[in-house]
This record gives sequence, structure tokens and C-alpha cells, in this order.
Amino acid sequence: MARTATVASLPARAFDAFIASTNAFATILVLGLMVLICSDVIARSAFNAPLHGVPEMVKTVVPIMLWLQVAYTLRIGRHMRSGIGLQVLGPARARWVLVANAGAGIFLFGIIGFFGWEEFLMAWQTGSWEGGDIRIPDWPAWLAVAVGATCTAVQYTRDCIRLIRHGASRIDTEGADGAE
Amino acid sequence: MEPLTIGILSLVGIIVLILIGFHVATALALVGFIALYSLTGRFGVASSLLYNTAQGGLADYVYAVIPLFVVMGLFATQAGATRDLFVAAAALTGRLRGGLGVATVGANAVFAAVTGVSVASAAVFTKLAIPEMSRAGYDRRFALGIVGSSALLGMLIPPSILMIVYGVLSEQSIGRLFAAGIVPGLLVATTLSVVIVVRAYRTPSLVGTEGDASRRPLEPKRRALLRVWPLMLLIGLVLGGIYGGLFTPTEAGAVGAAGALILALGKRAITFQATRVILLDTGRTCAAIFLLLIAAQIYSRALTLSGLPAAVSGWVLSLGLDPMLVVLLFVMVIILLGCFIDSVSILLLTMPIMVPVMNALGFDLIWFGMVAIVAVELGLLTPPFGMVVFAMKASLPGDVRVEEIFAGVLPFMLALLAALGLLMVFPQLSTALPNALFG
Repeated sequence: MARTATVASLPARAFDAFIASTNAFATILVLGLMVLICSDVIARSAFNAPLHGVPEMVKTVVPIMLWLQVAYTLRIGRHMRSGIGLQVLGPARARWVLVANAGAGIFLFGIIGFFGWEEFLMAWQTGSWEGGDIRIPDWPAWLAVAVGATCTAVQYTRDCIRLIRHGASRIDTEGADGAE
Repeated sequence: MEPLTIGILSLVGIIVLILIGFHVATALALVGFIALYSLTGRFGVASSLLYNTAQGGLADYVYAVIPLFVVMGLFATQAGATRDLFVAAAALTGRLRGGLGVATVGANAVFAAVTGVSVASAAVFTKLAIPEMSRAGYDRRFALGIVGSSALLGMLIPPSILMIVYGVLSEQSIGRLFAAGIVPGLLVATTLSVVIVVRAYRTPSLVGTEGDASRRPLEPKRRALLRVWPLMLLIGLVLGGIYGGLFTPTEAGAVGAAGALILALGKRAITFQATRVILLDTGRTCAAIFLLLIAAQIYSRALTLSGLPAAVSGWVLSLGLDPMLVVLLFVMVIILLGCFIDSVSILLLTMPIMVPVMNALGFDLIWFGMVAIVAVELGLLTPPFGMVVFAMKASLPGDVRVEEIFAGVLPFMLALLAALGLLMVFPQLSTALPNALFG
């Protein structure tokens, strides 16, 4: 029994490590944005020579940042939700609300992931791009969507299985503000 | 089914799902998806909109402003900005009765010009100001109320995540909104300070020994102010740059983040571990907001397609109500939702309907933005789900109960409602500055 658990937890640990590393990569992108935009401001105001394509690059990076972080944010329970209803419902009923929530997540992120891979493959094969000053290929953004949405759907599936098997824990029923 | 019925059902459905505890983003996207499918009758249309919004919904230069301002606030906190500001403000308020309370408000107001969020301020100032006030003999409830209510300034004084979200939803310039927030923010800060001083003088026991012979030691004013000038310079650069047309808000965010990083490096406050925590914090904050923004776009498309916003506008106009009554009604809805839902979600949920109505009634959308944001912020203090209150609870010793914080905040809530009333009655408070700066 213990051996099975160890074997089963290996892919789980690998998955956790993977989503944590994409998350870390995305946070480095924030610093990258900071440096990029500051260089543009300095180049423009000090040397009257703005860098080409900064708005296009920024535009591409923002969705990539989100999709690299979304699964990890779900894993650590930081997507926004109100905890009050779950607490009123009590653990038994809250469990099924959370299962339904996870089901909705699997459905939605499953669709995004499925079509995300399709769009990625198409963008990769046709070499499509966007931009004005510089050409930015479409495939990295779609790759981020595909990977991020798939991982999120997987994470929702793990949550769903855990909730059905073991019920809701205290962290599940706490609210998360994430933002304020 | 009639499109309008689908619109109404989807609105009800979202509120129910959020209240029972669905992730807000999942609820918005799920109901939006089902509504789109019901309206068009085609699964392909609904799913195409879903995945295309997932990729394209955030592909705009303006969205980069969110992580940049979040990172700026976190670096500034790491640089000890909050502590320096509090010490400087406490030195300035000197021996005024209620001075530490006013200093908390003042430090919050200045720190608000560095940070875009409120709950983080609440946590920081709970750890910083409450022990100081306890030492001076402040009534605990009074001190809790001061910290909770002044934390709201984080979202009122620009830069503010709520203003960015509102700007995106209502298609208003973020620079204008940032200019509009200054006067309402100062109004709230002044109102809170007045309430603190008046209460301190009427009931001296609230502030213990403050103002008496046994005085707290004060740092010399000049030295205290010297500690904060680099931060003030950074604020001047960031906000002045936006107002002077030197930077876009996104550029100001990048410059501000870099400036705050330099401040922190200058104070040798940046370690590998601290940077890691800051970046992870930024990541989870932004991922949560960004996912909401995408989900809200899907919901908003479905609403528009159902014709509900236009129908509500037409209906409100046909009633011939006093337009201010409509605003009042909206404000009440927002405050009520604030009892249960977080502030960004409230804006995403309500603005797709309220903004067209306000537009049809001929109101200034910058002004309505300020009114809506103050109302949303009040929700951070209302039971049972006031998030500032819970953030404070998490930073306090175990014997402080949530109820005690709510009770402490209550008198200040009344003052904040009065400030909101002033903002509603005098639109110039919100519109004069942006009009003067941007024409």
C-alpha cells in the first residue's frame, strides 16, 4: 500500500515541480518587462531613440505570464473565491460545491487547453506572426495557453479526486482574495 | 429562450455560484460560456470565444501596468518604506492628541501612492502601528479601527489596481483615473484624521497617555523627514511622470518598480530570499487578477449579446427616476455585494451593466468610477467578509477577535460613508484635477 502511494506520488511531485517552475519563470518575466520598459524610457528620453517593438513585446508577454502562473496559483489556493458560503454550507455540502467547481474548471480549461494545442501546432507549422516594428511569432503565446490550461485542468482533476475521496479541508473552504 | 431571459438568468447564476463558493473566475467563465452557447445555439462559437479570449484577452500593453505596480509596492515595503513613513508622520503629528492615529492615516496615504493594493497595507500597518498605539495606551478597538479604515487608502490613492480594472471595463483613460483619485483619496484621509482627533479630544481615554505629561519619545522632525525623501522623490517621479505626460501608466509602473528596487538595494534590504518571496507574491496576485479579467470578458460578451445592459439602460431611462437616485441604488448594490465578494470581482460583475446606464444618464464616467471604487472599498470593511479585517486578524495576536475589529471600524465606516456622500454630491472633487491636467 505504502509502495503504491510512493509510486503514485512521483508523477504528482513531478507535476508540482513543473508548475512551480513555470510560475517562477513567469515571475522573472515581470523583472524582464521592468528592464525592457525602463530601457525604452531611457533610450527615448535621453537619446531620443526609442527601442523598436517594446509595446508589441509587452503585449505578448502579459498573457504568457498569466498562463504560466495560473495552475500554480490554483495549487496554492489563491484564486479568488468567497469563503462565506462554503462555511455556511458546512463541510459535507461544501465538498460537493467544490467538486462541482472543480468539474467546471476541468471542462473550461480542458476546452482552452485542447484548442490551445491545436492553435499552437497551427501557428508553429505556418510560422504566423504579428507585429508592426518587429515580427513576433504567434506560437509562444499559444504554447503558454496550451501548457497553462492543460496543467490547470490537471490540477482541477487532482482537486476533484481528492475532494471526492477525502472531503474538503480547511484550506478548501477558506476564502481567497488574491488581489487587494 | 429569450436572449434577455438568458442575460438575467446568467447574472443570477453567477451571483449564486460565487456566493456558494465557486472560484469567481470559474463562475464567470462557466456561466458566460453557457449563456453564449444558449444565445448562439453553437458550441463552436462559445468555445472559440473562450480560447481566443484566453489568448487575446490580455494582449494589451496596458495590462502590464498591474504586475509592475504590484512589484513596486512590494519592493518599497521591503525597503522599509512603511516604517520610515510611519516614523516621519509620527514625528510630524508630534504631541497632538490622537497624533499616532493621524500618523497612521498619513503614512497610509503616502504609502498608497506607492502601492496599488489595500489588504497588504492593512497587514503591514497592523504589525507596525498597533504595537506603537498600544504602547501609548490607545484603546485597542480604536487602534484597530484606525488601521482598518486607513488601509482603504491603498486603493483610493493612485496607483490603484481597482482604477486600472475600472479603466479597462469602462474604456476610460487610466492616467485620467489616476489623476481623479487624488482629491477623493485626500478627502477620505482628512475625514479619517478629523474623526480620530475629534474622538481623541472628546474621549481622552481612547488615546491613553497621548498628549499628557508622560510623552512618547519623538524622533527629531528633520531626521525623520530625511529618511523618507527618496521615497517621496520616487512618488513624485511616478505620478508626476503620468500627469505631466512624460510616461504612460505602464511606463510609470516600470520606472516605479525599478526605483523601488534601487531604494531597497540602497538599504541593503534585498536578499535572494526576499526577492523570491516578492516575485512569488506578485505572481499569485497578478495571476488571480488576470484570470478574472479574462473570465469577465467572456461574461461581458455574453451579457452584451443578450442585450441586458442596453435593456437595463432603456428601462431605467423610461422610469424617469432622478438620476442621482439611480446612482444611490447602484452604490447600495455595490456595498451589499461587498459584504460577500472581493472588490475586483464586484467591479467585473457590476460594471458591464452599470457603466452603460451611467453613460445613458449622461454622467461623467471618471466621476462614477471614483464613487464606485469608494463604495467597493467600503465593502472591504463590512462583515461578514471584509477582507481588510481578515488580513488584520491574520497579522494580530490570537486573542483579538474578528468581531472586535469590525466593531472598531464601525465609527470610521460612518465617516467614510459621509465622504462617499460628498463625492456623489460634488462631482468636481473627482473631475476637476483630471480636467485641469488633461483638458
